Amino acid sequence: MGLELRKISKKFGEVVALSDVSIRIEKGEYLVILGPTGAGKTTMLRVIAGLEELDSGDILLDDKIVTKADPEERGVVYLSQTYSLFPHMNVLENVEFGPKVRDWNPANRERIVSEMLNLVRLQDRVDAFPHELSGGMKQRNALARALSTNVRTLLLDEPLRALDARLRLSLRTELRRMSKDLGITSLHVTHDQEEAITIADRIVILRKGKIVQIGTPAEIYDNPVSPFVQHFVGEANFFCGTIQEKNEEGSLVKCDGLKVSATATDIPVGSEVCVGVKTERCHVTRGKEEGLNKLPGTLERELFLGRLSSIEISSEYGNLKAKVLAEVSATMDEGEDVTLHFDRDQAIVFPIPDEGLEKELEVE
Amino acid sequence: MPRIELKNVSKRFGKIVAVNTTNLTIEDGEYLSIVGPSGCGKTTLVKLISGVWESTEGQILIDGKDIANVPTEDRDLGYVFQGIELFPHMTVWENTTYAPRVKDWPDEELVKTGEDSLRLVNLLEMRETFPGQLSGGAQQKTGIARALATKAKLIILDEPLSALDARVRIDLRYELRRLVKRLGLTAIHVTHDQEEALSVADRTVVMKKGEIVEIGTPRQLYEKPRHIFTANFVGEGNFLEGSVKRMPGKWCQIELRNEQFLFVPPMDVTEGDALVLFTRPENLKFCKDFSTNSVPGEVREVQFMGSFLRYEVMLATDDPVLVDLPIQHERVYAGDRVMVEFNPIDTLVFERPPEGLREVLRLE
Repeated sequence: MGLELRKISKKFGEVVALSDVSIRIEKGEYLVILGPTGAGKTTMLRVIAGLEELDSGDILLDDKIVTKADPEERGVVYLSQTYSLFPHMNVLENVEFGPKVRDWNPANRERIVSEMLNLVRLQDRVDAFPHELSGGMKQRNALARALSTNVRTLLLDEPLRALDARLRLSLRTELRRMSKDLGITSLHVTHDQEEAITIADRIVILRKGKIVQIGTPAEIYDNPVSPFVQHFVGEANFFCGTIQEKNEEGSLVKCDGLKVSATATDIPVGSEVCVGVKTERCHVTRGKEEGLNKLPGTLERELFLGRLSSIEISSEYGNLKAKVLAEVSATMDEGEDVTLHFDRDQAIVFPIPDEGLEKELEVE
Repeated sequence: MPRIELKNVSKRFGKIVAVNTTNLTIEDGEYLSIVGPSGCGKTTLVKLISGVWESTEGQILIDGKDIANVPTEDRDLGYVFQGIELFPHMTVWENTTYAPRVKDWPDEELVKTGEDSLRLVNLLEMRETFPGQLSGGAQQKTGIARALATKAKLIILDEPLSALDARVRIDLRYELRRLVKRLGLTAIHVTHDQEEALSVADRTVVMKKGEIVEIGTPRQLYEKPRHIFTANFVGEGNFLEGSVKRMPGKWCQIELRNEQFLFVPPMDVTEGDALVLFTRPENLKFCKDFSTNSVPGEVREVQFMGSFLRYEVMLATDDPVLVDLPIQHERVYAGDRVMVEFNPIDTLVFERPPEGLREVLRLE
């Protein structure tokens, strides 16, 4: 096991940052911790790095308890959102710093430093100082510096946040590649669900200090455990109602004049539930159609996103959203009659959340 | 009614040219976004319009009137910027009605405007709250309400969403467009986020190094960019170097590296011309047949992207390409040999840039 957290908790005064969090992370795994602001993501990294003390629980690195160990002894490096480079040192000197203070022999030192500079593709910029580098280069320089000390576990706190959106798209897969090439274990914190899905082996959904779900990107995306997860990782439409019938294959939920054919569920017939359907798994066609899982309405707005368009539809069942291929939305006009459809397999049944659906879906 | 014209506007800071001889017309009621990488001059451009900076050369006209000598406070515009600074000791209400109070509006009008503005951003209930108690999204909404309460017909949004979490940003960009359209405002929205720029605007301006590269509707820029920089900046794409082999009437045959060939629609070129072919990942497909418009390759990696799968394929031309396919199609795995089919209609052709393809595609 690369890293294990056993029932760790941490409070700052009255504020609960982490509550009874347990997780096992494989050696070499790329784990992404995803959640809204205030979920406890940064605290999780900082306690692993030894920068914050735990209130209770244990942290194990390579099967050894390190809960009380000094940060330097853990073989872990924490990369904060602001890249901690020495401003008066150039790219090379920043990377050499760690090996030098550890007094490694020069041949060994030179080898690892040049390896790291190649890895982050800065071998041609060794003489540049931080202020001469772009945001992305600074970030890669900081990464090379962190990695040059032979760490086995990398803690990345929103490593792409300060970069331009387009550059982020290119760099996110690079981060994963570097981590995999070196065979190190990485924990990457982000609030960006698309980033998480794209690069993670597994995603941890953290909210209010608790783990809501752990799974592969496909599991998180297609089998969310709660309306929050379904709505946070991609958007979803929700319908609340009562289960009318069900069998092994599916269920029928009656929602205020609307019948929704949904996936199978353990929840008993007669219970109040909400049914969620990802907006990316909805289809939209022209004209009004009635029928099971067909919701007629008016196309209010189209927002062009590139590959997809986000469509807003007003219907007697409320405002609905769908993300469809932009070539499909190109055939439709605002104000036109349309119908939103979805397959039974895409409609997931959840119990009504304790605090109500609206509170459940809040993202901040 | 604001119609804004920039005529040969330049701004230099010492030797640095931030904005170079720029011409731009923004129609009354238009939602215009300006996008480009860090340092492209987009923020400087709107600061010239708002009066924070004075242009070095050229004219800025609002409704035909030169505004060179009009101070910022008389330009009748609302301003929202990144990490908006609300007055911490003032409530949401006091922040929102700041401009009406300073301008000594009659009480009745002040109250009505303040209430209307807060209602529009759904914060009326929070009127007595102090900024420190608000979430990031609510603070930014207060900033928007404050700009609306000036009753200006022109609103300038300078990275209004950049400080927020990805998810909150997505929800708020919908709101922004809705508000601007409902109130019939003219909006100029600056962002580094290409998806945000496309989704909110009627037209989008792409800038690079102080100059406008291209202006168009979001759909034009994404689907039919006229410039190779735009093609790369507003979304992900595949670029293949080649040259014109021959033009047998209906199609134009392009020779790629390693004796691979593709057909594209006829165009105004001569045999031997150096070109770059461009496609979006969603416009490529796998096919089984060698006779179609395709290039062989090997799948390097398969990535789950939520609503689709992304294949990284190394083509026989030594060009890596991305192929995005719906989840339902027949699965292909890493290591598989595939034929990648190029639809001639969706394959755009650019002249090979004199500075080299890599240089043009550089994002930092």
